[in-house]
Amino acid sequence: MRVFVYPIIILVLASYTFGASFISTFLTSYASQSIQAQRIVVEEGQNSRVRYESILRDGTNEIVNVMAPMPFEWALIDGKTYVIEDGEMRLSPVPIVDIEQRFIELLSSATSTVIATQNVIYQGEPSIQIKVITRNSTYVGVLSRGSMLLKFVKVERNDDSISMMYTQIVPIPKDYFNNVLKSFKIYNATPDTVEMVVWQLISNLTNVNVMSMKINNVTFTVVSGMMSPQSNTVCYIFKIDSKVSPESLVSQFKAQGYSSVAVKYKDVYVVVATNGKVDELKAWISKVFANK
Amino acid sequence: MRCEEFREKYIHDEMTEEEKHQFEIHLKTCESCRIFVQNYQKIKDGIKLLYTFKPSKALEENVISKIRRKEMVKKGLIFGLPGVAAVAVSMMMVFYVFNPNVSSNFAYEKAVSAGISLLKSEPGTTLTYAQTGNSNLNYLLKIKYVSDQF
Repeated sequence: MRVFVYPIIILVLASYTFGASFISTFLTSYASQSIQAQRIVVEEGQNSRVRYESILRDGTNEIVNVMAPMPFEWALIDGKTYVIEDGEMRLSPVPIVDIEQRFIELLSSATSTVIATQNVIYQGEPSIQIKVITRNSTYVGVLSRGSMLLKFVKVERNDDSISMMYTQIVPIPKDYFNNVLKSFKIYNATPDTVEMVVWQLISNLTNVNVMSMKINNVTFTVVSGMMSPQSNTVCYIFKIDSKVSPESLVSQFKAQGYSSVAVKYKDVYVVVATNGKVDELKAWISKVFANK
Repeated sequence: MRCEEFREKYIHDEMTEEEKHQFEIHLKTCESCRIFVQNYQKIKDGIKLLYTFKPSKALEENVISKIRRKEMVKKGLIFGLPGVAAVAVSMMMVFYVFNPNVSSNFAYEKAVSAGISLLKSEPGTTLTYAQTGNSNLNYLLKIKYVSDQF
């Protein structure tokens, strides 16, 4: 038995040793790269989606222009994520996660992950595949052995997966990225409570819509969607100083036969109503406002 | 003479003395002519009164004021009620706008009815309420769709 086990252990250790030194080389190379690229991101699972993105990257800083299906531009600069609209960069109320950046972070930390590397041929080119296994996800990255450019990243968790495939990568001068970045006005204002709450709500609903409604000079931000398992839900977010009583809204919803609960969070009230059960609603609210 | 001839000459005051005498005898036996003469006399007296009667100042004022009062009631029915209604509605609106409690209740009803229409509709439906618009927080939805939640 030992005859078979020892060679395997030696092989694994050799692979890991080779991997560790290679990872370090790759991370150094990645940090010095400046590229303009196109990539396709495919999400498979409960929500299957495809999107096309144009990337401008300088090291770990990047400007991502989502071209389809929903145009949207964002940037990751010095670890902070920004939303780009009308030539302005505003601090995002929540970190925008990019699986490529997450993959690089995992390689950099490597404390709670298992990393394995292996030579592969990817699209006819000699490449190296890096596998990272975390507690609940498996990441696979493929990079060109010659240019050390990342060509493919895939992450799997349970029945869901996200794949990112580069279709075109063009190296660019470092100044180019900086000049594009300078063309934006950067605002570092802290996102307000309404933004944070709306984000928490839409993160926990499906088929979500965000609307704004003004009644008697009171602005209500209305988030509607579907709460798990299948209950239509509507949430009203309004400022505490708007003189609207959340209890009155709750009682009116209850009078119409709906489950309704009001939550006070910092300087806003959140009134939630659903056609589901009140216990489910309370559990959902606890989940939404957990750690808040 | 027949009844019609008597009556015609009587109205036009064309009877001779002899004919007048004959008509008086006729009236004793003809009830129809008697009623005719009585009615004719009443009308003739009324017309005469109309042209010759001069009411006292007090009576005149009394009559005129009664007529005016009737006209005011008529005008009130035509123009007054909507006016009163408009004033009442305005007062109610002022009450609603400036009374924070009532104003809030109004807002609650509007807000809740909008929410209920969303709860009853298919997921993903947007409100068509006049004062509803796209929120400037729609970019959060875009973040949700591009941020890889792993």
